[in-house]
Amino acid sequence: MGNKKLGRGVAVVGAGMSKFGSFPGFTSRDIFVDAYKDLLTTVDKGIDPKDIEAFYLGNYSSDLFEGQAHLAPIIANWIGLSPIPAVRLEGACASSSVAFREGMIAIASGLYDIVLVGGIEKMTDLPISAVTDTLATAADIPYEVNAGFTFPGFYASMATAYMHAYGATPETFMKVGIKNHKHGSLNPKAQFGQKISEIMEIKRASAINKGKPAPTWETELDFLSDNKSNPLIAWPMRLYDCSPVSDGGAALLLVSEELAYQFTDHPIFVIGSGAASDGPLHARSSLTSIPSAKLAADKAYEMAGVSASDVKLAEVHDCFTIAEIIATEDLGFFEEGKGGKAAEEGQTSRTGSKPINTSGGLKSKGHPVGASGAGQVVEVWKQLRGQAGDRQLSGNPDLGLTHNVGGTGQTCIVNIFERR
Amino acid sequence: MSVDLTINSYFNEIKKKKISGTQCKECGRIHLPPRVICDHCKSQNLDIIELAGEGTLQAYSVVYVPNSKMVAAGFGRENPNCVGIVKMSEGPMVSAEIYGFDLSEPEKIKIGTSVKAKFIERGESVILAFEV
Repeated sequence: MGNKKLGRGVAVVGAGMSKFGSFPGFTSRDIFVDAYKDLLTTVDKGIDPKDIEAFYLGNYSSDLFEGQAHLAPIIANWIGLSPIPAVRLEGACASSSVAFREGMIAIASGLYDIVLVGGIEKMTDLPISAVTDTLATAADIPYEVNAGFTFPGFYASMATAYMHAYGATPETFMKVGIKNHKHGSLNPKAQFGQKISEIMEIKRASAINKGKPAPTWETELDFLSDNKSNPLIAWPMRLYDCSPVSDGGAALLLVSEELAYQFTDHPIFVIGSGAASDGPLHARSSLTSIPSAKLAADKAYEMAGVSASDVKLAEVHDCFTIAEIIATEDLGFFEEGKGGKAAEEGQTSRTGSKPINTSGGLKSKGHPVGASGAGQVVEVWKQLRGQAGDRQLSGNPDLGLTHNVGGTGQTCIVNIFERR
Repeated sequence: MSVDLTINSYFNEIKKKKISGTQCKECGRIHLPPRVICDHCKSQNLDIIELAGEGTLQAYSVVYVPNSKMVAAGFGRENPNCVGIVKMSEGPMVSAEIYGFDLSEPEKIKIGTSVKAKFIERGESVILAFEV
């Protein structure tokens, strides 16, 4: 079917997000207002909201999380955008990348020139057991969930397959978490603003305060290997291998290439986009990679005319630490089986050869599932414009990538962004 | 409805302790859970076949925070459940509960271990699980 291109170019000219975290008393509408207002401040030459022609909202399950469906027109109305078309897109944890792609396609088609893309999830109203069950509805209920699986269980199974195939250890995964917490400590919007070492000292002080014996951890790995401070969730995934339950929103302003410079002198262009779908984990040719991610990446690279080695930074879907390692292999940054070692060697840190998840990733920044994909774009947009604050990469990066997975890979979307 | 093989008809066979898959008449591929349309060659021409119930473990986890159905069945942090992906001797892979390993040492569970089907009666349902 050959190499398909967009009908016309699309640029991102504004990108905002709420803080990610746990916000009792705030509904998804309240949180999205925060993200939308932040977006408006980022459009260098301003945007008149009356010029926005359509709204594409990524949201996984406001129905189950908040008892509220039909969220796109409700939010559009709340931010004053009625009566423009407003549609909600669902692709599990990739929902807002699905929304991004649909907004991009709508502009590329010529139908619209100016589109608002959003992502929102309000997860923390439910008790953790109900959150687990709600997330599990993204898997195959009769064939997977009723067979005893949970989401940590799926990714943990990929982890045991990866350990068996390539000799990784639980410490390999812990090092990904340590790195992402270190990155997140530089991101004021991150749910965890702390390094693992800082969390460790807070817990140590708290134990001493309560008159308990002082914990004997000396290193971050000691803390992460302790069943009490870092309990097993699904072997070999422990608490600090899992992204948190989060509330958060993100908002992006997409415009046609022709209009981009009316909004800013520094637009970021979407030069490649790929998407793919798949069946349940057990029906795949590989348990140590995500085939839909490889396909989406191949399509995005082909459309962009670039290769993995051209990518200066990537925000990848680290819902679990093993997922980041697999992502860096599926995207072609490292050979299959070498991603774990690359992470251990620091190649994926801010100062390494291939910086991954400079925002802190889902692990530290937070994972409000329907907002995570749009949140990834916010980070890449800021890094490519030199506006990432304390965590800004050196060397003026000009090419960034986002990789957003729904479920265990039933959906995957990869987008490539360029500063010209 | 013109569909005679459904999600529920598969589980009704499991209740009879039969592992009922399908085999594509065009490309020969065997499907478990059974498919009505071959995802490999897209054929709608499939036979129902019974699988022997033997396989090998391809991936696993020991789950300490189970889903609510497993909690209702008595599992939890003090009594974790083992799940795995099993490759049947006939080719296809399935997700299932796994029994017979010492779960106090999850790191010693060996991928590649041979397992056999075990049917668990739980409430109204019968579950296809595997044991070492």
